[in-house]
Amino acid sequence: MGGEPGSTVVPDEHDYAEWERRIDAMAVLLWGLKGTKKYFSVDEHRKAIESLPPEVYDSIAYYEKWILALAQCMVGRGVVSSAELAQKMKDVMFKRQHHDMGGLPAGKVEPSEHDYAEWERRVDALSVLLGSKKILTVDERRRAIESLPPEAYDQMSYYERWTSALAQTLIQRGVITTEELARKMHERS
Amino acid sequence: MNEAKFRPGERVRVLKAYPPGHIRTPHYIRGCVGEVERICGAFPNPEELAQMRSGLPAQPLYRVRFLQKNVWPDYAGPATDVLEIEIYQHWLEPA
Amino acid sequence: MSDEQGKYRPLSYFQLMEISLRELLVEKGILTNEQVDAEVENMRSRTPERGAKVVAHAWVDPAYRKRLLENGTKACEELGLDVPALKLVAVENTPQTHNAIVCTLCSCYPRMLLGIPPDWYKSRNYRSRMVREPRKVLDEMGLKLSPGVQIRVHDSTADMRYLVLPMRPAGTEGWSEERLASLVSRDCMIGVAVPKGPAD
Repeated sequence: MGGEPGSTVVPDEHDYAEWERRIDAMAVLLWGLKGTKKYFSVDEHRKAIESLPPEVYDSIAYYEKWILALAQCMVGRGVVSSAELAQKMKDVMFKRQHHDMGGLPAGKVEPSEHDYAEWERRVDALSVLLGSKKILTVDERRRAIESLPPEAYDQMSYYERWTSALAQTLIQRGVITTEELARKMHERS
Repeated sequence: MNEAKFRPGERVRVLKAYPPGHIRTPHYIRGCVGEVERICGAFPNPEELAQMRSGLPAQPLYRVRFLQKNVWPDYAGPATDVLEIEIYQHWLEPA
Repeated sequence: MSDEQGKYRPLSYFQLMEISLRELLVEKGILTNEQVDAEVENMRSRTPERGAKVVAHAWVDPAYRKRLLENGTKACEELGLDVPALKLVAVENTPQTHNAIVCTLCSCYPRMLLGIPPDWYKSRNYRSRMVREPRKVLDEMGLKLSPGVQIRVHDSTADMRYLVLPMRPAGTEGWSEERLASLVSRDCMIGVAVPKGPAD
């Protein structure tokens, strides 16, 4: 957010609570910085914070962001599973993820259809082929879509979301690098 | 695969939990009580598949039937209307 | 860059991304262009007519109907339909019950049988409201159901995919399967419409 307008800096401080100090300690240990086993990097942790939806990012405190990102990294790396966390955290509500929209109020269903463009069919074809070759799973692609910032999710078309998800998943899997994709898109534009 | 704990006809409650990650149990159904309609089989856990892991051992998947009036406090339709959803075993507990 | 209609139009960011991803995958020997083209053709060949064939056969053959309700995938394969990886559950409309399908979390749909889902099925409005006020949504989409009919809404949240088996319209006795199939639209198999017979 560097360079964007903001309001006056309020010089507040607070005494660090024990749970906040524990979060710092857990992070340092899991990053492998104290001669402990490294479960994920500082960069992954930061990326998880950056990937928080804007309204979550803006509405929760610093350490709440850190612990949420910590949990996501731990699930991402298999240190804990979503299922294990669910069992531990029963009965405490959290807000829904943006794509999880069942039951929300919405407008009339417009009976729109469109003729699928060739590039859209190819996105589907690539997804199916890569899945059948076991290079990536539909679950990873779905997760990539679910991680889109809400604004992007709402404004992108269906196939734009799936294209973005394909790219994210291929990069995550190390099949292509961000650099290769950037270079190729530049060449072909 | 993990053994199937529930039988068709059994009453089950969906966990009221909100963990991070890729979750296929919709937010709106968490905490609700329904009835097992059928066992669909056992499949690799999508929450784990989404994290590039195998999702094994396969987890039993159920179709669970809920009365709409038990899901939405303000449901306007007939009392017999139902909602049927596929839910993985680890999201269910006996009701 | 021209699109398929031969009109010049600048490529969108995501169209460019699709091209780039595909070229990288081919360069790395992971896929060939032939494989992509073949899969596009495969997908083009999957149309709702395939589902209509299944429905019509179930209407004329009660034993097949029973098998369809027990194991949807096997029943499709019985008719020679290629449905790789599809785990199909067929749900039957009766005078007392109407079924409708939605995927609130994304856009799960029996693509291997019916092809690509319509835009509205994937829309925010359908995905949000169908589980909560199905009668209102169906009414808006042109299907009025009496309060005496139970609605079963199926939210396709995991590995199963759904096909609604509509009721056979009156006045179609003795019709061929082909003629019966022509009454079964994609929307009937999603559950937002019902087939219209000669009397309707």
